[in-house]
Amino acid sequence: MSPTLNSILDTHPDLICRYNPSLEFTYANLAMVEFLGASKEEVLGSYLLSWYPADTKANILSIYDVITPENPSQTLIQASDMKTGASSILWTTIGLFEGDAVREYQSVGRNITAEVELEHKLKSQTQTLDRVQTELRSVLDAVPSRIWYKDDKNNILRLNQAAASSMGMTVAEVEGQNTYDLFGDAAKSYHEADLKVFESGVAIRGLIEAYTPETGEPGWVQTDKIPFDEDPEEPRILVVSTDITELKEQEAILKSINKNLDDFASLVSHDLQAPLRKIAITAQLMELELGDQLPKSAGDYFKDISQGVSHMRTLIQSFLKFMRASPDSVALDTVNLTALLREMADEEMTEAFSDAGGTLSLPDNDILVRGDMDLLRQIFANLLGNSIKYRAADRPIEVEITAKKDQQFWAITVSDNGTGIDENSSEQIFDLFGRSKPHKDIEGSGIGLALCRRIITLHGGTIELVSKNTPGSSFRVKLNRARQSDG
Amino acid sequence: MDKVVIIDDSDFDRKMIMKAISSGRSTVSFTELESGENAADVIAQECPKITILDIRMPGIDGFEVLAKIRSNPKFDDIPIVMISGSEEAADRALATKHGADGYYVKPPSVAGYLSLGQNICSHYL
Repeated sequence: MSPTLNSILDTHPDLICRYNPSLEFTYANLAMVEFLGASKEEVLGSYLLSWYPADTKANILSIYDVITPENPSQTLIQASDMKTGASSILWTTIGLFEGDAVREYQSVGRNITAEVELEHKLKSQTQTLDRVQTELRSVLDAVPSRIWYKDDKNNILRLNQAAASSMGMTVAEVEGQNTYDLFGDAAKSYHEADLKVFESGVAIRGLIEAYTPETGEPGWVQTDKIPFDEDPEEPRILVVSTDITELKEQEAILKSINKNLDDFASLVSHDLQAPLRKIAITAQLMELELGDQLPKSAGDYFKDISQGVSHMRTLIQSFLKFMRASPDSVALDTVNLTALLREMADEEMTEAFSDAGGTLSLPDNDILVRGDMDLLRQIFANLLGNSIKYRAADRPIEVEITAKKDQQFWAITVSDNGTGIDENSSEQIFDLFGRSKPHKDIEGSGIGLALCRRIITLHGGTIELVSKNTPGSSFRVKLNRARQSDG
Repeated sequence: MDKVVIIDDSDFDRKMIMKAISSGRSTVSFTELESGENAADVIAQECPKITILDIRMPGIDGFEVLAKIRSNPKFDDIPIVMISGSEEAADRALATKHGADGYYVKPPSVAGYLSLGQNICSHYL
């Protein structure tokens, strides 16, 4: 070969060599020499197979059996573990070169070890990806929520089994379809909500919406719409819906029951008060118009009628309040209980406390709770009213209200020095018409504390009697702290 | 003589309203109706100075009667006050919405009725 050609071949990165029919090197470029880990002088004239381990020689020789003048070229990919320790995967083309008086093999090999390793790595990664996708699909399909992955054109790109089943279709049938084709008119409102999320980039959570697939069962769902903003050019959204149809049906039933109860309460209130009013007024008219003609003892009878009517009226009104205390009747807000108690003390309790030589001690710190102002007023008016009603005859009334807070609640304790409550009655007093002991001289409906407990329960709080068999009684009311920092 | 129409299914309540108004004004004539069925005809005939209308009545309730009367512009100038056995915020709001001129709760005492009578006399008669 010419020196110029040699020079070109020497700089070529492929392994290029020639050898005679006795498989002795007649030429090897620099890449080949370097691959064999020897000098050019050591390689030239050396026997090809002397560079291979003994156990691979037969295999290599077999290649030359199939290279003939009729079939002068063979391409093969082989792992070449050389004696010198070089180990590579070569993509080699061996050709038979026949000149006028020369017969030689020429071999061009490319080291494709890196490519093969890369291919193996890719294959392995593809397998891992396939496995992860299979696992992800299994997980998604095991989730009871309905999950859709959509674009901004309302196209469903992917969905889980629950979502497809809810539409009476398979995953494959739905994927790639447009929501407008599957949900009719409702698709517009779904799309509008999606677009809001795309525009704001902020998730919408807890969206209650009617679910009306053209196939499948209609119902109600609670939906979260979560934006995926990795690629602004191709926005995506994850829609996760939970079937709340049963809940909605129960809610409708409950609303209907509550409405019936409210109607019933109004009816009871009206229909019971009408005859009561008639009794009271007739008795008054008798006393006014016929009093002179009746014996003196009749006056006591009129008084008894009046007291009976008054008691019955209290019962009806308390019962009505109890019946009407429902979740719908509670309007939660931040209430400064200390300010409310001060206001109540100024407006309503003056006569019972300061005028009678008693004391009402209120907390100094602000108690900020989450509650309905009017209902909270009702609770504490009831508790303070009980303290006044059941005060001891032999000592001035003393009532102390204290408060302590923990992470979640304010615990407000109302303690008095009154007649107290039996230990055995600590729960009974919170029952409807449950009073701790007979109080023939004290008028009460037996509804007050039951109403207190009902209202407090509706606030997510508790009320309990904490003093038992002590000279006075002590009630602890726990109410949720207001959300804002309350110091 | 001032004319007053009282529409209430309760004999007793009609009697007490008449007693209460009469105690404040002697020159009043009353027309009693125990339902609102013919209320519009009677009002057209009597042209009362005031109509007192109970809310809760069997059949057509007071609100329906009120709506029917107020739907006729001929009766625009006739004061109509609603009267109810119990205080209901929703009823009070509904009464105002339907064009009632007043809302009273039936008092639980003779003194209360007398006060109601005086109030009606001073405002409407």
